[in-house]
Amino acid sequence: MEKQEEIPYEPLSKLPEWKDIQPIPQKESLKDPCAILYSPQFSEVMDYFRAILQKKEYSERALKLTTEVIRLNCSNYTVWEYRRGILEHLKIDLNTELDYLDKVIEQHPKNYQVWTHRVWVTTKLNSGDREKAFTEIAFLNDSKNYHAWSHRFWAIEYFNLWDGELEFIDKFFENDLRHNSAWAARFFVATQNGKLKNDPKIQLQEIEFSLSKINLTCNNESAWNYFISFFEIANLDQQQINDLVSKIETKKTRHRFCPFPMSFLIRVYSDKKFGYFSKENLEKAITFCDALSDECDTIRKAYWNYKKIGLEKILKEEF
Amino acid sequence: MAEATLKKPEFSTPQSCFTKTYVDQKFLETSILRRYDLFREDPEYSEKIRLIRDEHKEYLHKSARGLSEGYQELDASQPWFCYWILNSLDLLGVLDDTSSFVYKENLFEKTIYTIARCQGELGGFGGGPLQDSHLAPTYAAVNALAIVQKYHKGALDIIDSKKMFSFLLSLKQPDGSFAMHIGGERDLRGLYCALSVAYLLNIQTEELIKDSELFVKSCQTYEGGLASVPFAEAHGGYTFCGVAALGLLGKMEVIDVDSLFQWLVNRQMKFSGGFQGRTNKLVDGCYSWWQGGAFPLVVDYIQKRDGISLQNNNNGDWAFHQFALQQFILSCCQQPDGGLRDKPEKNRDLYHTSYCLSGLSRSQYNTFSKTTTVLGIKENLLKEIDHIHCIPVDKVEVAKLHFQNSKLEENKN
Repeated sequence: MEKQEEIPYEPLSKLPEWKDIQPIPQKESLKDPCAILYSPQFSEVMDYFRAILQKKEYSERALKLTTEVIRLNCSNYTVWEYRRGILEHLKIDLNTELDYLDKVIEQHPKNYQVWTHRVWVTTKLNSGDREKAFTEIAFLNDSKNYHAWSHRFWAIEYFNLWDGELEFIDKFFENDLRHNSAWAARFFVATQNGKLKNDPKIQLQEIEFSLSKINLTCNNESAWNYFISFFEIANLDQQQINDLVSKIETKKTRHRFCPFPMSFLIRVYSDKKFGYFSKENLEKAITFCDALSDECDTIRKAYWNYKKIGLEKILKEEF
Repeated sequence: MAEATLKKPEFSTPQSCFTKTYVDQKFLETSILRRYDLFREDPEYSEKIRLIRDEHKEYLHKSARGLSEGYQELDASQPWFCYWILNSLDLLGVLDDTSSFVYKENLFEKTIYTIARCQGELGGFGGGPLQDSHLAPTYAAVNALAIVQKYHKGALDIIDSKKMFSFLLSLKQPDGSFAMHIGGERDLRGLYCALSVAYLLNIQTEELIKDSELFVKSCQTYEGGLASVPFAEAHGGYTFCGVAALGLLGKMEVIDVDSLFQWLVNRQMKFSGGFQGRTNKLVDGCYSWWQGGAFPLVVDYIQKRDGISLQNNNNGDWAFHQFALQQFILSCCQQPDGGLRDKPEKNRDLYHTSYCLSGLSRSQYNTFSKTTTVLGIKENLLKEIDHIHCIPVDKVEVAKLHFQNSKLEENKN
């Protein structure tokens, strides 16, 4: 792990501001298994922090100290919780806190505590105005940042920021249609936005959308997972089902080694609700299981064998 | 045939296919390929492949003696170090060897001492002395003590069960989830940590577990896997947490187990044999545990429900490719001077060491058929890992026995 950046450091013990505080060391830590070899600065800052924490002092200097602790270790959830207490007590303008937090998160975008704090601050401010733009900055660094996406979803729902979201997500597909975080985001918007929720038109649109991406490249599990779930959710009539199934059947022929069309067809052929349940189709599904297990998806041999056993059981019982 | 009529091979719009996700994956495959070539060049290589026990032991020994300044960032995770080191050492069989450094250097006593100082006044454990109690270090502390208990009676006695109960209850939310700490985030980690601890300590009251399965259910995504919170992306770490929690609650049926199962098997990478955490992401050794570890509960549930056995293939009980996973861990995740890692070109750390070894153990033991599946020399066999608490199975037995008779007083205070 990298060493902390060397920054000229003035010991707190030399500052008159801290004279009245008796630091509390993390006693005998060298006795501990896996004791961390703390830098002198880290130790001292933490010693003073422990002292302030014990005193429950909510002051300007305590706030400054929490900033210092966070700079050294922003995973310290205790300091964040304590900082929230100080911010409330001193009635600090939380817009300044948000400015500060922007910088911390840019440095530590994959830390739980920073995002938890951001939810707290924006809730208190009762404004999500900055959240969309801010998460976009986080995506520049890692467009699959789990925390940033979760935060964005939270803000969208909490502050009702649905507008333009589908268009925003679309940009990720332009660059990378295997971007699963973007697929998950699209599903969130298409099913949770009050305006789109349960709208049959939207469901059809999502089926078309995912199918168009599958047409670009068949070997993309993200698009298939999306397609299949809307295929199941949507209330399709038999004609619509038939159209889609025949398209996938063509894909199956064209992409002989791609496991996804076969996997989809096994599902359709073996479930009575889709109108394809017949002896012939079940037998076909069983041959797909064999092809997957022996040829196209051999790492999942055990799984496809299990599927095959299930199909054989249905075949025996029903025909 | 005239040349002019020959059709050029058709690529479907390259800019769409050769995306960042795709290119990252191909680069990694090339680097893994170099390692797997060894198998091809030397037909006996797969029989000779070796878990470098001494090197791992040495790395863990070194870490137990002290961690570099860089670990300051994990100052709020001190019980985790104890757990990761002890779990790794135990899986490697080092804790059962009374001539090892563990005994010479009083590692058990030191662990108890360290963890005891992390216990909060209001119950639970914090990431270090005088830090607030938090579910993650609480889980790690209890696991570490459970491991120590077998060798050093009294380890588990330092836990104040009554206060632990009120600590856990204070974090319980109306939707069945748990906050990680007072003022902290709520997600599937919290739920798993709370329930894992509660069931080990035998303090899982109706009140404490009420509606927890509903929160897990709400985290299942359209892909089948589980997310941290409703509508986030399906993810291996959270999936394990949710599955293990349902295993403890005995309520696997609340989720769509078939779609979960399909999602899980699809996380094993065709090429490397390791697991990825999310669809279309890169392989990482730690998911050997988070994804691989979720199989026993899922397979057990499906077998009972369908009245069939998944064992009738020569690759073990778990419906993932156990040899392929072992090949990935042993040839890509071992750092030559000890310790395990995410993937080649990454550095070892205690987290990956513990979870790669846990995943290796998972893929070696077929709990149902009571057999083992071991790639390479037979000495590669580790001790058996528990499928819920992620500590060796003998330690779960000891802990459960210890708390069997201790009953929580009906004190609502």
